[in-house]
Amino acid sequence: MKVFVKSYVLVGIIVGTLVIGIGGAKALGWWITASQKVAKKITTGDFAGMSDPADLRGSYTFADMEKNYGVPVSVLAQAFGYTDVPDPSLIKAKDIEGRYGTMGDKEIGTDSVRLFVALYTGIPYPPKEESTGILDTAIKVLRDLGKLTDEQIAQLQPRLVVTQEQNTESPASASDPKVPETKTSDSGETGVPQKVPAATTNVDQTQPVAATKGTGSDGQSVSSTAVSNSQTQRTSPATEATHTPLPQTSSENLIRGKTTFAEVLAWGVSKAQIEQVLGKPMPPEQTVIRDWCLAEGLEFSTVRDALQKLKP
Amino acid sequence: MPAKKKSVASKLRLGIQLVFLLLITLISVNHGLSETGIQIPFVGNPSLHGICPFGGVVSLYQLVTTGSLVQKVHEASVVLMALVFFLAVLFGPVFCGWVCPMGTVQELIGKLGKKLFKKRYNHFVPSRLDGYLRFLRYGVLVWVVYVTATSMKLVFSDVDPYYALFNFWTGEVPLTALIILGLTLIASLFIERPFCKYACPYGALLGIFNIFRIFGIKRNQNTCINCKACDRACPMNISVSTSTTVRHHQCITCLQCTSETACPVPATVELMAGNFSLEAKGAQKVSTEGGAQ
Repeated sequence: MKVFVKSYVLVGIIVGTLVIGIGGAKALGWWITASQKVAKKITTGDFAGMSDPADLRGSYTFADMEKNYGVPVSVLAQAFGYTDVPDPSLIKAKDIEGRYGTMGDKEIGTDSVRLFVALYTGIPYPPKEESTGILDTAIKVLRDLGKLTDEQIAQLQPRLVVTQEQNTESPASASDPKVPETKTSDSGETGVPQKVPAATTNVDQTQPVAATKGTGSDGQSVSSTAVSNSQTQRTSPATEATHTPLPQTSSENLIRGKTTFAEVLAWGVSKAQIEQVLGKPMPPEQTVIRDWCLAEGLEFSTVRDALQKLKP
Repeated sequence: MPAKKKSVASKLRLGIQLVFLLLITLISVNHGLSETGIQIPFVGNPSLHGICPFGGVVSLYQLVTTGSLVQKVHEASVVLMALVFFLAVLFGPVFCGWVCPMGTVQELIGKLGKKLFKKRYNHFVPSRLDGYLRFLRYGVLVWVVYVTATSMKLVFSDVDPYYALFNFWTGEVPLTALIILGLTLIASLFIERPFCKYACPYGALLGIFNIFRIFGIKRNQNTCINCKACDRACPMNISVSTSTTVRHHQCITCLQCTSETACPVPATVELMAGNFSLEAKGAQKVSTEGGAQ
């Protein structure tokens, strides 16, 4: 049997297929063209079926975090200092990076939010970077909610960043004699959160003791941050480093808040390699990478990690 | 035999191509405007990654193994992939010939090339070399699928001229993609659909459907006067005049070779199911492959 298809019939079939197909998909709820902001689930272990904090993205708003992880917007707002904004539910994780960023040798950004959410939910999450910090306000909120033990608070000390507002009394330590005291830097400008680099140098941050284990959505094994006594004992007194912000050492080839493109080029990385990471022409060499990311609306930590990998 | 004046079929095809080109352009502009609060009415504002059917293809491995899609790809891409596959089973790569805006833009530039180079247009590449180069796109397809599966990232966007074409003003397009777009547009002045012929991984995949599609381009040998008008009309340089059924992997079902358009003899080159040879006495055995000119 022969069946001829003329051009106008073909057009009808093409357009009809697309219109009916897309319409049907919409009716069935399959026509999704934007991220639903649904975090991946942990697939194995004690936390199987729960949303994985590791999958929290910079684009997630506080509202998205509440939906995914059950952390109330008000708690997040209090933890990250957004109590004075009209609608904190719209604050994105990457906004926190823009507000705080690198402070001394610690960084408050999306990974800090992941860590906070993990501590709130009790889901194990080893921060992606040693430099990941956690605000004193966040620890205060967690402690007040009974989400942290004293041991956990002590273990978090190496990551602690004290805000200017808490200058006179560190919430993480004021009422807790077991927590080493922390203070803000003398040189801090008014209104600018300051990192206290206290008690960071002598602490091995890479050894969280696993109380429970599971497999994250990215396939990596995750472990809880139960406290290691040895870590607590090795934590140095805050006074040792309180007034001495750590230098931005380019010699370590680490990208930090003040690192410029020129410093990355000085590693021996080519401009072409950098542009490949950026996906666009490199700005003038003296441009601070973090400032450029903020201006371009990019997540600094993502760009930083990609550039870091270029290190010869 | 004098060339036919522009047929209704050609105008119809150009019209449909321009509609899809306009639609994608508006969607892309709308997406760019979405953060400003300004919106073009009646047009959505998804990212082009979210509505690219090839995104569904490169996500398949991850979808099967982890149940998730590659970053930036969304469910709509999988829906479109299925719809385009359905059309391809029936008619081959009609998506390439009638819908793909990247193909349309190349064809529009090619019209200028035709005016500049006349008969030399689309015949600059030696046929033997051209034949080999046309398999390059399968290499690109394998590379894209493999790298996407292993990295779980939309790696092709770094070199994708389609994404670059509709986003070059956003500052989000990698330099490599802009360079490939530029080269593609320049090459379109000399070669019809150069990216489709030599590099498009999606075209490569859809081209495979030409082997078993239900409705094929068929030539009636009994009425064919062997004027080769079909060969000259084919943008993909396929030798239709030596085939009874065109199964060449680069056919895009544009219908430019058919009796509606280039072929001067009615009912001689047609898009059809079934076969002319079944009823024509003395018809030759059906050829299963049309070579490129």
